[in-house]
Amino acid sequence: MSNIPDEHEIFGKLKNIIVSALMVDSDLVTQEAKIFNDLDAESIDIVDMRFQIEQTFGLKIDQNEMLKSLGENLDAYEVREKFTVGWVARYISDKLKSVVQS
Amino acid sequence: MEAKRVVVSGMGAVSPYGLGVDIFRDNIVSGISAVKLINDFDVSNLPTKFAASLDLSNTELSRYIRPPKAVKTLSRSGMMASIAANEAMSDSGLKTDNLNPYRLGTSIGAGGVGLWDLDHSNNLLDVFLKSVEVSNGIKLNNSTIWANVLSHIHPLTPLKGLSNIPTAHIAIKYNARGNCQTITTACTSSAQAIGEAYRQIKYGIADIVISGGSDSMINPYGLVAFSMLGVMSTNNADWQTAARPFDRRRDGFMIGEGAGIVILEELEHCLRRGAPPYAEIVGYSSTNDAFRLTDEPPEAWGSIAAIKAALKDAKLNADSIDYINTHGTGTKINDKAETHAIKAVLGKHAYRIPVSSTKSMIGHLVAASGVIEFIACVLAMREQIVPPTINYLEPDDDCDLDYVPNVAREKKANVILSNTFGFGGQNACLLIRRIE
Repeated sequence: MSNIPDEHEIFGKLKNIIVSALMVDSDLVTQEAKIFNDLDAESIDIVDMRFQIEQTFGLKIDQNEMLKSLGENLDAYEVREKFTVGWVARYISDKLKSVVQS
Repeated sequence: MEAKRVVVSGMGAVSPYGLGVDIFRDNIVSGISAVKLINDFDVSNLPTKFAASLDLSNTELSRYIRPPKAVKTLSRSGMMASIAANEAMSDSGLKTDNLNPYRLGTSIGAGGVGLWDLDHSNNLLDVFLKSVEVSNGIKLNNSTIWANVLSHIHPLTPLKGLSNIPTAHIAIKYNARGNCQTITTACTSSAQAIGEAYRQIKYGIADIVISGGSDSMINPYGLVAFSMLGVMSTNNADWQTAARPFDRRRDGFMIGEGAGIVILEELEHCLRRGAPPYAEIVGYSSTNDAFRLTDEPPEAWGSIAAIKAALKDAKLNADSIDYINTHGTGTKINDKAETHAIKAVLGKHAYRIPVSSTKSMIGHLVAASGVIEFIACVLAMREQIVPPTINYLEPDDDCDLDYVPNVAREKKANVILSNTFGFGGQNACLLIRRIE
């Protein structure tokens, strides 16, 4: 039986992490919210988020690898557009599944 | 280029009494000690069990930080600096939108900023305990320790511990794009920070500098560090009155914590905007004993040179000084040497003026001692009351000046000297003058 949290639970925990790391109102943390553009994150906030995601979900995340998996050869503008809360939630879900499979 | 005149146009303070210049002033004028027994962590095995600590937790301090996100990279000491800066800028009436940001700077004294804050110490010790191997007998595995630190300690901790982060936060908040610096010279840090800021304005590099400093070492590391050097009082039996500078029974300093920020501004800039300056800074010196790391040189040559150099910078004679706020730590060595230095420079005039130690009440704020005592001087000038040296009951033959024993005194002081001396042979003196 899989003990991977479902998508709803992942999103809920991620939302708490983002509220804590970025100190934004919970209402702003939607699936579509762009973490840099809409939630005003800077580099150190991503470091903080990454740490809290690792601690919460028991994962090991390489930050550079995470950002690279947004897409090949993206420029800074494109990264900022694609890096949404929803994308991070799916990334966590995929990571959890691959850990279980291995 | 003609030297500019430099004034103090705003002040902010976080002292062991609480937040704000007003509470600081009210308590030092009333001769109230900020001493408390340490209860944030277990001191039962440590030689000193009391300090002048601020009764606000990090969580409570964090509520005053704007923007809120800055809390993530601010240590306890850094938060104090931010809060003091906020008060000082508000007090000055300056609106940053109206300022040339490249003529606005910061100059902040910092010490043991945050690497050993209580939270971090406890987290680190937990990691050490987790890194114990038991398979082959109990043994700490160093490699595992560091791997565990990487995995389990919050990654923004190194930023919290970096000494220039408080100045960075202040620069960001007030859009200070000019020269921003952090000075770490132990006990003289914030006095030097003010002095160097004064020089930048005097010589036309900046119009306004947000200057001062902060420190908070009332944690296991800080207590152990100063205990190792044997400089703190261990008079736990009489802890309420153990901070007794210049008293024959003194046995070391009481540690305190806090921050101070003063806005230094070019005089014409200040007057043009209709702001009333508190006082003018007319002299500053920074010297080094070049002798030993912690010993005083024979006959206090370093302190004497510093006081003389500040007077020369101010183009004032020694007998123009009306009050001295001493470094006055309460160690056997400092108080004797400082008394000697004051007498060597002022001669008979030393006996005619009040000379007091604020450390008797608020303890030694280490890197922040210079600025908090500078603020005490500005207040003394403005309010015409000099604060006392409390807990002074038994005079010492080696310390025979008028230390304003126990009770504040009315005194109109037109010129005030503030002394700060630190480990590493550092000396910094600041002279302020009344400006009508």
